[in-house]
Amino acid sequence: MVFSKRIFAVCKAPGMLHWLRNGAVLVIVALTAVVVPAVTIAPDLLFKFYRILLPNRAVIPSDWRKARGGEAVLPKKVLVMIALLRENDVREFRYSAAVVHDPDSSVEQRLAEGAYPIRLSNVARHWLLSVNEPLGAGCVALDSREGIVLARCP
Amino acid sequence: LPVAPSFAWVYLTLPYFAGLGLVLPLCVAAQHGTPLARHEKAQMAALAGAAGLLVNHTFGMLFSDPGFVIVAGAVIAIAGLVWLATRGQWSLWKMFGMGWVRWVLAGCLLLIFSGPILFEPLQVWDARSIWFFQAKEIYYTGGLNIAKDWTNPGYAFAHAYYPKLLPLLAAQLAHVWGLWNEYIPKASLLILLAPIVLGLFGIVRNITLSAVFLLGAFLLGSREELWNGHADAYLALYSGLSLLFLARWLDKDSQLDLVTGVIFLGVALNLKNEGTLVTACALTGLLVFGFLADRALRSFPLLKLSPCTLLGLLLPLVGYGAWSLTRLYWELPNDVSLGADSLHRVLERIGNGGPGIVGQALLVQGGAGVAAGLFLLAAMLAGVLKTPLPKATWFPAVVATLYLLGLFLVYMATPQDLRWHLLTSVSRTVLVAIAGFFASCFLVLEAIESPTGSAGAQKFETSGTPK
Repeated sequence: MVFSKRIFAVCKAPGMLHWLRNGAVLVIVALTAVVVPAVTIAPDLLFKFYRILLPNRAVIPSDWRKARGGEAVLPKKVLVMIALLRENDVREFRYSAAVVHDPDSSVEQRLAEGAYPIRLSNVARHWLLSVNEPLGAGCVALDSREGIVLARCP
Repeated sequence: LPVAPSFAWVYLTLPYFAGLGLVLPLCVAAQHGTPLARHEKAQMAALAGAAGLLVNHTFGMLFSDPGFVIVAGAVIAIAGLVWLATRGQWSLWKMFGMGWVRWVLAGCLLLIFSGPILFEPLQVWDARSIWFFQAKEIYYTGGLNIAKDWTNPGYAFAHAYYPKLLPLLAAQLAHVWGLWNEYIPKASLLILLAPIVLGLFGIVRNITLSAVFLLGAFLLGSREELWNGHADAYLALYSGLSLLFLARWLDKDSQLDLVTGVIFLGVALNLKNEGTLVTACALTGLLVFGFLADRALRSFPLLKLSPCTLLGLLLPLVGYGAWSLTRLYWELPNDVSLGADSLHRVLERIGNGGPGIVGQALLVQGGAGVAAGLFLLAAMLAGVLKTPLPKATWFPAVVATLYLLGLFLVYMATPQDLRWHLLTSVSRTVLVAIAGFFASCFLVLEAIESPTGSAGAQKFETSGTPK
């Protein structure tokens, strides 16, 4: 009892109370740093910034100020399809279910947004097809690459 | 230094937004009775930036041509800044001179985030398919007035009915550069971040442990969501800061806090659909706390509207209203499809263990439970240390809880597969609630650190800053 009373008396001393308050705040800050987890994000963020300051600035992509820069993040199949559309000056297109079928990546959406402003249209004359698919009646293959065919239909 | 030009162009756009939103700080400053403390000047800068974003968004909604919006905005911004600079000696300094320490820290924080924001291309799903695809549409069609691509069923994945503050901003930046790529439009995130950083320095009065907590929890808590192109972290930070300013208004009854809180909430409202839910929860919270706290009841905005508050309330609503009418006119569908069918889905899921699945996802996988736990632990420590906590300390946490309840209902009513919907979104949608709990936690920590109030800090802050 005497011992616990002494502890309480020490805790109530003005100086000690100040330390207790700061200690309580420190506990919450430390717990938050673990939970967030700031301890891993902050160094990662600083490292990302530090790499930009390196003399060769290798981390700054060479195409960051160029039109269409950064498109390389798209799946390779999508890049091939977009190249076919652009090189043949297509303005509107549609695609077969087979050509966008790819369980490992989201080809359909990536093609739609990546190709824009070449528009998707249900009545477009240009089709993207898989090389194994038969062309429709009156359709002509304009170009093909890596198993993908660009066809123009009547 | 060799990399400076790569960053500088973004920083040069910041005075444009500050100039556009200048009218609100001027209005508040005219009614502010005492000299502004340095943290209040930081708050003024944050207010100008956030109001500038809203003015820019409103212009973008009302006028179709991005080029016209940029030129008209620049004329207004330059005229405003020049007028303020020539109004009297040091008038710009009196408004925004928050001290070199705060300016340097804010600049460094923005610079650190510049790396991943500017030099990592758009890669994640929602960023590519929604926000920046919409920006791409705006850029290539020359504005928001052409409905052709917005109603194209092939682009249904882009959720065309989502608010347009971020897409408009990204499209404007691409318009200024005259090209579209996967980097330049991302600078819009840096412009959105600037008022957040300034707002944080408007909240903290001194460099203390609680300030470290707030900066760390807010800026690092969202992890890569701050630079990968998602809008959720920005929604969370604008909401969290708004709740902090509104809590301080409930406690101290400062016009500056009220207007800043309203404007930050307005940005959240126009940033994502969840902003509507945040706004509804914040208004409900204000009603509850308005009746709990005597001071707030006396100056409740519905009872006593000052011109500044009225302007602050009106500004976000113009852009929001314009977009709401546009999407009605274009008949854009909403994939959450809340309506009569929702009740049926909710009742069905109650019988299938839905509440447990959603609750666990929100609190455990999303992390809201941990943030709420930290706040409650801090409140308990405050109780043990006999620290008096103002009622307003609880305001952000109450709003966060209401928001969680709202999210719970939205997920229970979703027409999508529940598990898929939770798996793909809960870690982001819950960020608003986490920011709310962290905001309350900061207020508790601040009270523990300085139980007798911040009179000392105020005295230190106001010295040498005559109005």
